[in-house]
Amino acid sequence: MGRYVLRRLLQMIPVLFGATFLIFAMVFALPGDPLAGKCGDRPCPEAYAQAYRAKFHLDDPLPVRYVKYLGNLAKGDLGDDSSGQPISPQIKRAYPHTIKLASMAIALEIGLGIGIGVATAIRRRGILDKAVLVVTLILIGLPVFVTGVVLQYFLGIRWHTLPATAGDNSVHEFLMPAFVLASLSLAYAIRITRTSLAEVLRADYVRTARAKGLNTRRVIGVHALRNGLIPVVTFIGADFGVLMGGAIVTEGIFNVHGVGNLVFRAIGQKEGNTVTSVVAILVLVFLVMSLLVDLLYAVIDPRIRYE
Amino acid sequence: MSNVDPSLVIPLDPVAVPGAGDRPRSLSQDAWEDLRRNPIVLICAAVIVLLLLMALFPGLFTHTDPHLCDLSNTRKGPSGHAWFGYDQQGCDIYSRTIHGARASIAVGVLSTIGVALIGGIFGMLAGFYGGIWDTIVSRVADVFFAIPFLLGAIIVLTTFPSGNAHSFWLPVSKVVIALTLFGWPSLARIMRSTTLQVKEADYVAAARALGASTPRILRVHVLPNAVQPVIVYATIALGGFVGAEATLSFLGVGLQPPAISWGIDISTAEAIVRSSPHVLLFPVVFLSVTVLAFILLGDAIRDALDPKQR
Repeated sequence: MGRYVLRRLLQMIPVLFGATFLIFAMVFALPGDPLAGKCGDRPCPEAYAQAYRAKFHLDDPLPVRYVKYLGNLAKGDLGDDSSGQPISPQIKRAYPHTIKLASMAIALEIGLGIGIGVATAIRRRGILDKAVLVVTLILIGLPVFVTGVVLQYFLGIRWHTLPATAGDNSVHEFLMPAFVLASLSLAYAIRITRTSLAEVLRADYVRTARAKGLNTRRVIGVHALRNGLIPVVTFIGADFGVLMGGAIVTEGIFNVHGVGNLVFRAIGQKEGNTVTSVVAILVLVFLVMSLLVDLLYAVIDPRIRYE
Repeated sequence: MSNVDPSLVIPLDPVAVPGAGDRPRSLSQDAWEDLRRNPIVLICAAVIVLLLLMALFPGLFTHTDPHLCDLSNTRKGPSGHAWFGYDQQGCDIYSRTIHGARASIAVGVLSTIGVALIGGIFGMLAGFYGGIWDTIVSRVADVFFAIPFLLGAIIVLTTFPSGNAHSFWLPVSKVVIALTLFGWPSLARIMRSTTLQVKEADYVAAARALGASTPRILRVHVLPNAVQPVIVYATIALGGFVGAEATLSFLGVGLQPPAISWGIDISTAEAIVRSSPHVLLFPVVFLSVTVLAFILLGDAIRDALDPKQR
């Protein structure tokens, strides 16, 4: 187990370097003179241009710049953006909002996804089952940005059920964006739970549990769920890393000041350092989450052993 | 048991004994029979055929020029003259929605082909040769897999902008490249694991003993076994790519006006949705039905190929 974790952690290193280098190279290949428009209508004074080029190592070849960037990163310094603002406080300010949004989305997936999935698996082909099938199909067919725009129009603007945008980041304001962010995965979570639990409910050991006189609550709650939930737990666990990166669209629509918004603005303004730093964090979160999910898998299902 | 008279052995399941002219069906024939009778598959197939016709011959559905806009018609609702009404610029929405199919289908089909080729080839080589090749391919795939899909595509498209190009294929191919670049690892993983399973099979050892070359083993034994999971994944992914194209165009980094795409139309409709919701409705419905048709078809193929479901 320890050796497995160690091997996985070591494997993360090249992936992390590869991903950051890829993004670094692409972002610095962005077309356009970084100094253009920096000093208004006139070209920048020679002294400023030189200081600027030196500060961001613009005259070094790409690999040298990447190594210098890594060197600063190792010291915990994410560098400055082109207007001289340090990047780490910007990320520190944005990150909690995205974590909150993604956690609420995950909570919705666990609560609604597993709850509705179990309910429909028990009463298959009932009215609830059919209604849920239609709703999940609609959610799967709608790309997230469409779900966002449509819900914002109906719930936020027409019916005033929920705030249309998230200005001061309260839980109440995050409800709609979190649902939109979760919508696609929520639909899959319901379907996975339903399929998996329905399969388990047909298993021999469930029949045995029923035959020896256990009540339905115990048969489903204890015997069936433990095995039936394995696929959906791993699905939802892996989703956290995906949601953090997938929040760009949702944060844009609902004006959440999270990392998605930060990185989208940074790409538009050619802020290479900011983009690379945010992507590095997102990749790291994704890798750690997938490792945790694999370990969780062994905890739920004792048949799985990692050597 | 060896001295039992064969005529005394009674078949356990008489139906399973193939009679004259009734040859046993293979798994894929079984699946085909299943699919042909599944109403969902028939509906999805009909929708997809319709979309292909729209993409190839929009003239079959409309004669109105989608670029011919009259500002005096701005935001007019649906009528007998224009079934879907007019948008902000006074363009005919029906015509724009029909012509928008081409971008979505082109991006979806080309990205799927790109992902299948790159992912398939690298996955197969990694699985078959193992060792250093496997390590290299797997780690490179991990790198692209770890970068959030949409974020990666946005960065690629911002790095290589198309500007206001009037050509149709240039921006489309850029979107295709961006989606392929971050989409191939999933398929490479599927292909790699299938290859690993098949490689150990007895019939591969037999083929090798008979002197079959590596390309022949890959072509005749590995590929046919990997085709089924790849078809299932590719069909579902095609729906996903159509949605991704619309998302990128919605964000303003995919196709750009004057190109016609459902994503662009949804993005312009968002601004005026409060006064004229019909502008948003039609491209949204077309987009979702397209995405859903491919995803449901892929789902049905997977169910039909899964013997456990029987």
